[in-house]
Amino acid sequence: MSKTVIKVENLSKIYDLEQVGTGTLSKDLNRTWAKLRGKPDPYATLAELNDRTQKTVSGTVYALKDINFDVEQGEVLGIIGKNGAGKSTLLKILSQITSPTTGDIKLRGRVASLLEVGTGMHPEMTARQNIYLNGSIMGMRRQEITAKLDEIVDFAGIGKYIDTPIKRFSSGMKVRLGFAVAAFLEPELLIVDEVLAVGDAEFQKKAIGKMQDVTKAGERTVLFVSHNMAAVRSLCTKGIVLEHGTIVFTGTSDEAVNYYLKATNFAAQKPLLEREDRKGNKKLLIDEISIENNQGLKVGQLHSGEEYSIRFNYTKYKDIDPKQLFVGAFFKNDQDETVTAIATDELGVKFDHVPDKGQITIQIPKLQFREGNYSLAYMISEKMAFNNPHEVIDNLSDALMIEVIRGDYWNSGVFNRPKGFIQEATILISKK
Amino acid sequence: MDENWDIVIKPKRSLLELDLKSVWRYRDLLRMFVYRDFVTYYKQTILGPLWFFIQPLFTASINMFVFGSLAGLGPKGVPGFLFYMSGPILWQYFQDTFTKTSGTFVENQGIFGKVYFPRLIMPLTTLISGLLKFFVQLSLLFVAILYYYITTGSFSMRWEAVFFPIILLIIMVLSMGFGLIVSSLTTKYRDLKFLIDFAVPLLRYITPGIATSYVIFIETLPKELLPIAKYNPLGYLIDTFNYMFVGVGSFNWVGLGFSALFAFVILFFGILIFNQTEKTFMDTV
Repeated sequence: MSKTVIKVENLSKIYDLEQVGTGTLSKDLNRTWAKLRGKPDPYATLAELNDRTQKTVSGTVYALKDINFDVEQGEVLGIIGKNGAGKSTLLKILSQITSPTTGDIKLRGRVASLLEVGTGMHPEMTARQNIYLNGSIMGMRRQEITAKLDEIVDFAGIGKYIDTPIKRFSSGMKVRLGFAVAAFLEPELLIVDEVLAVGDAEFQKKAIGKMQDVTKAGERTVLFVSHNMAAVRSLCTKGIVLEHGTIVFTGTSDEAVNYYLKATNFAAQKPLLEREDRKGNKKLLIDEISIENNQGLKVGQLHSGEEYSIRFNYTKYKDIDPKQLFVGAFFKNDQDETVTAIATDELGVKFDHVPDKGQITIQIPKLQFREGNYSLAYMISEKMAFNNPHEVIDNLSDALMIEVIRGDYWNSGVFNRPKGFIQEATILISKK
Repeated sequence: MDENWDIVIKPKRSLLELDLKSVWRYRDLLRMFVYRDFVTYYKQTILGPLWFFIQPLFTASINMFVFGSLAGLGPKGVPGFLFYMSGPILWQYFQDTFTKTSGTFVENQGIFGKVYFPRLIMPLTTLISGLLKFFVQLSLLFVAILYYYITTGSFSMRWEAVFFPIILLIIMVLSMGFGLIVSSLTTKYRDLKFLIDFAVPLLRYITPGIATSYVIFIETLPKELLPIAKYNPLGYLIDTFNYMFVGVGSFNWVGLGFSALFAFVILFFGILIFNQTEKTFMDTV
C-alpha cells in the first residue's frame, strides 16, 4: 500500500531581482501598508515568468509558478530542467531554506536534504569531530552518530586520519567524508542535489551504489535533481521536467528524460530565424546551420573519427570590420557542461572580407567527440578580447543538437568507448 | 485521505508561531556548535587560552591609567584595579554576544543556505559559547579579589553576590534580544551593521560603571543627558555587578527590575522578528 508523502499544491515563488538601495525602503513600506489593509502585495501582480533570456520590466520574476505534484512513499523522483528552470528554488523550498510566495507543501516523515556535502565542517577540527558536527547539522542525534561512526569512517575510507584536522585533508577526502555522513542519515525523505557529481570515479561509483541500495529498499522516498540523464534514468522511477518555473512534463523517468532531450532538440529544430533567444546587435544573422559529411551530404548523426564541415549560412545587414570579426562555436554535453570550443582567435584566423551573403565553414578533419548528445552554441562578435566580446553581433545557445554515435576512430575494428574525448596517442612497450 | 502531515511548508508564519519544540530536538547540534567554538577559539596561537587572561588584565590596566590616573574618575577607597576589571568583564560579554548575534544571518548564510535547522540555534550558541570566556575572566577577578584581601586585609565582595546569576541572566537576555533584532534587520539593510560597529564601543563610555562609578557618572553628567543614564538598562546591571564584587556602586532593586523588564521585552520582540525573518532571509541577504 502506498501513501502520499509529499504533496505540493499551487506552489509559486517570486524573486525580487532589484538591488537593495534607496528605493527599497519605500517599496517595503508600500508592501507593509498593503498588508495592513489586507490587500495583496502590489508588486506580486507584476511578476513575470522566468525566462533568463529576456530582461524583466517589473524587477520581479516567478522562479516557480503553480507547481503541483505528489510523491508516494518509495518513489524516486527525478527533477530535470535547464539551468535557471527553477530546480534549485524548488529544492530550497522543499528543504525549508526559504519559503514559497504562495501555495504549500506537506511532508510526512523525517526529511534530510543534501544540497551540499560536508556543510558546516570546520577545518581546524578533526575528522571525528567533524562527523559529529556535520551529522548534527543534518539533524542526527548524538547516539545515532556514535552508533554509525565506524561505518561512516569505513565508507569514507579515512580510517588512518580519523584524528587529523581536516584542513590537512585533500579536497577529495573532505568530499568523501561529507558524503559518508550523508549516506548514513537514514531519513524517510531524502532530497539530493547533484552531489554525486563530486569526487573521483571510484567514489562516484560507490556513492551511486549507495543511492541505489537506499532506493531499492523501497522504504525511502528520494527527490533527485540532476543534469546527469544517465543517473536519472537508472536511479529514478518518476520524473518531472521544469521549464521557466513550470512543470511541463510528468511521467516515468525514461519518458521525462526523453521529453527533456526532445524539448532541447525541438528548440534547436525551430528555424533559426524564428528563435527569440538570440542576442546581439544583428549586424549579421545566421540563417541556417548544417553539418555535412565528406561527400557534402547533410547529416543528423555523426560518427567519431570521420570528417565533417559545420556550415553557418548568414546574411549581413550592416558593415562589419572583417579584421575584428570573431567566430566561435561552443559544444556542451547533455549535462550542460561546455566540453570544447572552436574559435577564430585561438586558431589565429583573421578574415579579410565579409561578403553580404555568405557561409562560414568550420572544418573538422577527424571528429574527436565520443558517443553522446551535444549541443552547439555560437558567438559572432566584434573585437573579442579573450572571452569578453565587446560587441555581440549574433549569439545563440542550443543552436543545433548534435548526436554522435560510436565510431571507430582508429580504424582498429573496436568501437570507441563513451564519455570524454578521443586523444591522439599511440601505446608502445619497450625494453629498459 | 488522512491529513496528519509531519511538516507543512507555508508562505507565511503567524506572528507567535514559535517552533521551540524543534529547537529542543536540535539540542545536540547546539552542543556541537558550542563545542566547535571551544576547540577552535584559540587554534594556531602560541599563547592559546592565556589570551582569556591577558585581555582583561590589559583592559583593566589601561582603563585604570586613562580613567583613574589621567581623568581622576576612579572610585575612592577601593583598589582601582578591581573596579576597572569587573565592569569591563560584564560589558565585554554583552558586547561580544550582541555583536556576534547581530551578524547571525549575514555571517551564516553559507550554512543557512544549504541546510535547515532551527535558526535560533545559532544565537543560542553565541550566548553559551561567550559564557566560557566570561567565567574564565570572572575567576580571574576572584583571584584578584583574593590577592587584595591577602595583601590589604579588606574583602571587597558583598553577600549580595549570591544574586549574581540574576544579573547574568538579564544581560544574556538583553544582548540576545538586541542581537536578534539587528540581525533580522541587517539581512536587507546593511546600513545597521555600520552603525553597530562604531556605536557599540561608544556606548561603553555612556554606560555608568565602566569608566567610573554610577554616583560620579551622575554627578559629572550634564542635566540634559541624565535620561541616558537613567534609562540605560546596562548601567544598573554593571553598577550592581560592581557592587557585588568590588563594593563600589549600589544594589538597586527598582533599577534591576527596570533592566529585567526592558531586557525581556527586547528579547520578546527580537524573537518575533527573527522568527519572521528566518523564513525568507535567503532571498534578500
